Amino acid sequence: MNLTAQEIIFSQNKVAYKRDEQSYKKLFLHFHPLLYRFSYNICKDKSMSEDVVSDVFMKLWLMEARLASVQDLRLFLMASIKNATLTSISANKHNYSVDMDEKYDSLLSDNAPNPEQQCIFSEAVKRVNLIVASLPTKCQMVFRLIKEERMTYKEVSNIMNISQNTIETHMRIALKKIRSELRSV
Amino acid sequence: MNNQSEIYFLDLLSLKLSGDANEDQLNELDVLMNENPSFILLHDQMTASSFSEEEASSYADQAYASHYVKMQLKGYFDEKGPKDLQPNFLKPIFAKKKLLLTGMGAMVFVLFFIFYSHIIDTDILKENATYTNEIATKKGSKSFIKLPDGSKVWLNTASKLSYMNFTVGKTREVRLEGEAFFDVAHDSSRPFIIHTGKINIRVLGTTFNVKNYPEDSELETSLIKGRIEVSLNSRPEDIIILNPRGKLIISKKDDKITQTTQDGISENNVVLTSITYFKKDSLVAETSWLSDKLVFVDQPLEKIAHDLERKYVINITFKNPLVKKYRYTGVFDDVSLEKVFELIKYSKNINYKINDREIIIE
Repeated sequence: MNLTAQEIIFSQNKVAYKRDEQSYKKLFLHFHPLLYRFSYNICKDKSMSEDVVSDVFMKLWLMEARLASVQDLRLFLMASIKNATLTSISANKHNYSVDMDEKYDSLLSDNAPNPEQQCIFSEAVKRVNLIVASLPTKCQMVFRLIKEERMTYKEVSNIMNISQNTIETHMRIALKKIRSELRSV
Repeated sequence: MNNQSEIYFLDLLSLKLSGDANEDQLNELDVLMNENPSFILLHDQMTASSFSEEEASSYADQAYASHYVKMQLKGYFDEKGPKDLQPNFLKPIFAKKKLLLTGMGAMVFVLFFIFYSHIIDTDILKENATYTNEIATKKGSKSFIKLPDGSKVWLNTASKLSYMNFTVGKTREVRLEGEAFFDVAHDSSRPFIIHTGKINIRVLGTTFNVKNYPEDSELETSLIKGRIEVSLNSRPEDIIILNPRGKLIISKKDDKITQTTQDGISENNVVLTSITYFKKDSLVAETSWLSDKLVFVDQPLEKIAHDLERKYVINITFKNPLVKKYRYTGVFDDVSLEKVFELIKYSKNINYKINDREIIIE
């Protein structure tokens, strides 16, 4: 579901003041892909990401009228997801029973639970995905937000608390690596 | 020189991707690519879309279904405010000749016959009619479809849904084998009817789960929101009404269903109870399959084995009939089969061997 900025604000207000479930659902469906991907890229855990997104949306509902005073809902949600995912990771450190090798395999194999990898991909794209997955954490995050979610430098800067120069540097590193991978056949 | 122009190109490309590039910069980028055709490959790869919008959106639909269930149970969508899910000692309501039993709280009501004067439209009993459209899932996979009337159906593994032409007729009818979660679009002029095994479910715009696998000895239906009416093929006049959080279990064989209640242990063919809700984890056992979780509360290993067979595409054989009756409670996220058995063994010891897709429990 794709909503315009105005539709988002409209739905936001309906949820805040009218407790309208239909509008709440619209917001959920609109933001879910972005938020789920973002959470997943931080924790690499499908189940955790689902729970995090659900919890954040539950809190959104419970904000009641205060929701109407959120200026940029997308930014607000991204920040919430980032915090909630990191909290969830540290809270679950001792419960983290999945084998790390299993995790890495799932990123590479065709049977990944990640919705991103359920598409039919060309060889080049598969190789690119491998390179991206091997990028250092922050670099990978910046790259995905810009390239996959088409966020502006300003938005990324706000979400990740880094300067636009840093963003530029990360993008250079990522694109350079990808470029050299694509050129080596 | 080469390195510098590459960096310049990369910076411009980044700006384009983020939507920050102005017209001049976009033009510059095109000029650079014309001068340096080797830049084109990277540009095209990066500007192509990464993933299917459709996949992401159907995944979001699925996620909302689970989220919705959680919100419903916490009572957040009710105008009256959150409900308390502690056991509720309500007695059945009797009204003259009518016996109306509703499922509420954690109390178990046992019933053999429900009498309710209601005129059933004979169009409903289309048992042998041909269902022109069909969707089926194999063991180990789930599916999601949107019916022509906008109703959403999530099919669990090894299940089949058939439906008739929805544009004609006074009713919307489907047939189900296996397990599915329904979010039925509201249309009061055309009731939605599900035929499964020996029961029919008449729906009035709701969300609920139906579980009826041929290999299972019981048939279950759990209601999350709205209202459904269940009738047995053999006695169409008798209707069981489910209210939210109600769950109906019907025995398909001669074995009776054992239920532990406040009054002791009872055994019957038809049991009306409530869904299994874990307050701490905000989890509903009956619909947890939607998010690839496996949840069971005080269930015999025999029954758990069926769910495992369907989810992991395996075959389980019991050497010792007593072990079949061992009871377990568990919540499994999407973990490996080995992990599942380790955890079962940890809870109450069993000896087992895993041989590729064959599991033998001693």
